Amino acid sequence: MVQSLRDVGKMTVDDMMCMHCGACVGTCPENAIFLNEVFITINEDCNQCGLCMRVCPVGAMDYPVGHKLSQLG
Amino acid sequence: MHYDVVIVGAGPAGSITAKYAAQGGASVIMLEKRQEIGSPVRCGEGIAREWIDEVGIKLDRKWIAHEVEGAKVVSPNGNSFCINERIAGDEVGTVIERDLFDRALVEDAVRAGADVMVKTAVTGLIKDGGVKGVVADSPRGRLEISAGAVVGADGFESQVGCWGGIDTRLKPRDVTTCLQYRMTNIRPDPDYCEFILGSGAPGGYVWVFPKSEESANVGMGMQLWKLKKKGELRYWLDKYIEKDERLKGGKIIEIVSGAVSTCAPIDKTVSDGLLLVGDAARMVDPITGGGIANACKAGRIAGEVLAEAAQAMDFSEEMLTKYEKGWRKRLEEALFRNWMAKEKLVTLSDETFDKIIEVLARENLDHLSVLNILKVIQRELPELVEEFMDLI
Repeated sequence: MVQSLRDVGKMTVDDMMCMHCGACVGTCPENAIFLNEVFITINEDCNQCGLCMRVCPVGAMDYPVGHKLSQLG
Repeated sequence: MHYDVVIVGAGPAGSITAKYAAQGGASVIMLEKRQEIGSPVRCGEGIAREWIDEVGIKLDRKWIAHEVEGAKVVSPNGNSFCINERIAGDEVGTVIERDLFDRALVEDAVRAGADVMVKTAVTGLIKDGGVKGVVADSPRGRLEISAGAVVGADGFESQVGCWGGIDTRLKPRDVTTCLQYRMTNIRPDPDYCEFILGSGAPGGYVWVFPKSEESANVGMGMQLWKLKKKGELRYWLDKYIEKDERLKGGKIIEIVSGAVSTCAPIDKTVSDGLLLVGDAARMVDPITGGGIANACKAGRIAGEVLAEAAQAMDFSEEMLTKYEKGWRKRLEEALFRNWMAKEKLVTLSDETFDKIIEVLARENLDHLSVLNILKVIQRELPELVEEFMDLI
């Protein structure tokens, strides 16, 4: 497992890749992502729709390891 | 702590709102979650000169990186047409250092009497009927600040609206995700901001905005619904850069990412004690993805209305509706038309873009507006008119 990979509940974020740009925050249909400018958190409203993964300009978001839609292998 | 106006976000929208509200006598504080105003930059950094007077910004060498003659729009086959900066819309004329620009705007607001706090992240609203203040995390601990009105100037990632009951959520069709490299050791056209259309950037475009003779912001925006795979945008941008001869050997000295809304104007931007401005109010031009001009124009109106509200000690929705009416009068028609045009543009093939740009290259447009372009299309490419009829 990549060291910078962090489990944020229903999704994972690679903190090393994350640009803290907020693209996922503004896109989330449940308004479940919060960015305090240092790291993102995801609350229980997340329904794993995957839009944050698709919108992320640098590919830092993914489903958790083991999830059937995860591209983390 | 109590202020008449608490502004969440110290970008251009927040700063201009703060300046005009403070000038009008309101007590104002801006809360910025970053530790440094304007940094990291999330912007293509192209702005026009023509609108900055309207919002009381003075041109300053400090934040101008490079000046251009105009915009060059490039079709998939490499044809292009140029437009003089005077008529090229809100995003062309100067390429700025956005971090310095934001700082200058905050300084203007402070000069007008506004307070500001950095590294202070608003985490929620205080509500009692309407919105009555904010809760924030800061290096000095948790803060509660009560307010007559809270302004959501928190950009694309705005949460203030949703927290306060104004729905600002976007459809995947109306989200454009962007990645940009600041590159050096390249040969951009130093005289033009370039917009490159076509299937190289599906549902979006590539921009090359020169920052000097040998450096530029090279970026790409794509509509979210066109993206399926993780990190796909980077693949498309890298692919573009590889085939553009001028960018060969270029070195990336900065990576910038972000997203913009490219939606139709939203239904509501005020409620009791709450007002949204700029990208938070989804005021980005849906064609260009540029947000600064509209944010500043709406910010001025917001600031003036908030000053009036502070005088009257009335921050009700009814009072703040003056702002909503004001910005709609100034911006709504163009936003709506450009959104309709965007919906159409994303469906066009490379061949159609080639045809349109060939025709426009022959024209002498006196003003580059969507309406003017449509008129040319109506005259020169009648076979396309049906597609665009509802826009004309």
